[in-house]
Amino acid sequence: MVLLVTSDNKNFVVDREVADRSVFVKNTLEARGLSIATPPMLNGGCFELTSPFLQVLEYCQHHRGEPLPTTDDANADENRKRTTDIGEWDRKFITVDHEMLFEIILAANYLDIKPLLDVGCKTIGNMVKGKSPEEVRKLFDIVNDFTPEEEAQIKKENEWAEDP
Amino acid sequence: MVSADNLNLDVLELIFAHLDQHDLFHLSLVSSSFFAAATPLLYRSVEYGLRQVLRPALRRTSAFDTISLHPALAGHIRRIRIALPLPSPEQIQSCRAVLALRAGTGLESFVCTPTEVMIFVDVLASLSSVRYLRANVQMLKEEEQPLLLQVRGLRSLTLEFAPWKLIEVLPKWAADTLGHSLENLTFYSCFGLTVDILRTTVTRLPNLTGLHISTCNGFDFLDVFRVIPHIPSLVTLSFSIWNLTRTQGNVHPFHLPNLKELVVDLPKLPNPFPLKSFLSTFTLFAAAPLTSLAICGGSHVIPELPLESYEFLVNQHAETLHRLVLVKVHLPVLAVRSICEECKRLEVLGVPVPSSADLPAFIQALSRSDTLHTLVHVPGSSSSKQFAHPIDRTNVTRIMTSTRTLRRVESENHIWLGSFTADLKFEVKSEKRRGSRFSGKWYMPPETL
Repeated sequence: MVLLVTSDNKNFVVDREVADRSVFVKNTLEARGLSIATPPMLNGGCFELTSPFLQVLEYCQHHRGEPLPTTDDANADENRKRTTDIGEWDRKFITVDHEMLFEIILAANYLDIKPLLDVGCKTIGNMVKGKSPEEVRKLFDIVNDFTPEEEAQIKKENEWAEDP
Repeated sequence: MVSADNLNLDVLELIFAHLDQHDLFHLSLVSSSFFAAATPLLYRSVEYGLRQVLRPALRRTSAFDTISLHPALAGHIRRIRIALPLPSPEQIQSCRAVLALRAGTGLESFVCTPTEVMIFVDVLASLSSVRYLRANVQMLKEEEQPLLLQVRGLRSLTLEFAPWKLIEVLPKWAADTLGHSLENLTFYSCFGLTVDILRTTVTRLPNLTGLHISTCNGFDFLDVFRVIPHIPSLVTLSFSIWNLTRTQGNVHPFHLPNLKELVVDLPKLPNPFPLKSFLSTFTLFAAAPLTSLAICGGSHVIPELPLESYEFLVNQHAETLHRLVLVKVHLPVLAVRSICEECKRLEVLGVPVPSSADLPAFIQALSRSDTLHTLVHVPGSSSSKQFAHPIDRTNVTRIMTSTRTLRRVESENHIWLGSFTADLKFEVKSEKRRGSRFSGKWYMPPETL
């Protein structure tokens, strides 16, 4: 077992197998020379995370024991990116409000949990797919910080990418 | 509070990596932070293609023009594809300018299929980072050959319309430069190809795992069978059967223990159809652990065969097949049923979806599979066109709800995706297929496209 402490001082005791879903946590624990074989070994690590942490833990618990993606396989990486499919459980898991979705993505990025980062990114990708710039701004409450001239120029120069 | 606006650049790029150019264009207009994240991805792959020809009235600035205006954009380019049938002098000029900007490092893939490829040959030798090259070399002059032969480090080479003079130097090219790196070799419409030359070439390519010979009239399947025993590490293979009635008596059996993907097309069919000869061709591959098999008829549909024939074709690979594609093959519903029952790992099936009258039986047949994930509607026998197109939301929903694992149905114009909503209702969404994404030969290994 390991003890994980979030930046707002909440303590979470989790199985090493669950904690290891995060490459960041795994590397941190390994760097400190901790042994998995002698539970209950409690050790602290401090993470700049608050609200999404429970969600992230739920995800790690569900996927515990699954093989971790290898980082050096460029082909697998390409395949992962190309497909927009999200598994049934992951889809339900990621059905949260926008703010939480962004928080989970940032947490997954920080903690280096690639499959979770992927699910989050694909979910947002599926949301913006086929939408106009104005619809995307509305969807995520984004301010258009271009001048009309800048916008017209980008439109003209990148228009080749638009479907005829 | 976290919002889309203050996600950092790395994360935005990860999100955008899943999207196509059309969406990236829209995202680049959202805000300056989105613009910064979308631009590198938007310019990863640039193309001068049919779009520009088909819609000349649009008079749009091409990607190449924009890159000429902002040379820094060239740094993002990984793939360049020039596929205009007849480029104008101005277009050639802007392609050359971009290629010159990208010379040196970073460009991974260069596709150039207009016959005027010789105008780019000089630039090519300086693009040392190119790993994937596809070129129409019909107009390549003999004195320009050395420039092409200098290209080093290729992993995949596709030659179209290679003249005899270039075919002749292939063994030397293989020995001098290609041998160190080449993994895939593809020929389109190379009419001068001979068994001797190809055999010598492949023996000098120790890393070769893919060989594809398409629309090379005169280079028949029996010729292919005399070359492939020399490539025991072959993983992907495509070839054509031009004359099925040619005797196969003297074919030496070969063993390809790693062969995973096989594409066989039959551009011409004799009448009557020589069933025995057809089946014995596939018997030669019986021991290969195929995960993907595609059989494609040509101008004539492969006629209805006895049911045992379909079973014979598929059953020898039933334990390994993930993907089965049968284009222009008359396929009775009973054969579909047998395929779905026997192939325990089948995930992708490309077959003609039958007309409304046969649809219920077809849906029943698909439901026999416990693994099927994607169904692709491909051209089949002519009779399926007599009725209204059966692929609409209602039918897709029927197909998906009766085959538990099926989540994706593709037709020529649409992709249908099924999923459960948060309140466990099944929902089917459709996406329009974009531009040239759906290549008629999608089942070919990606390195040949």
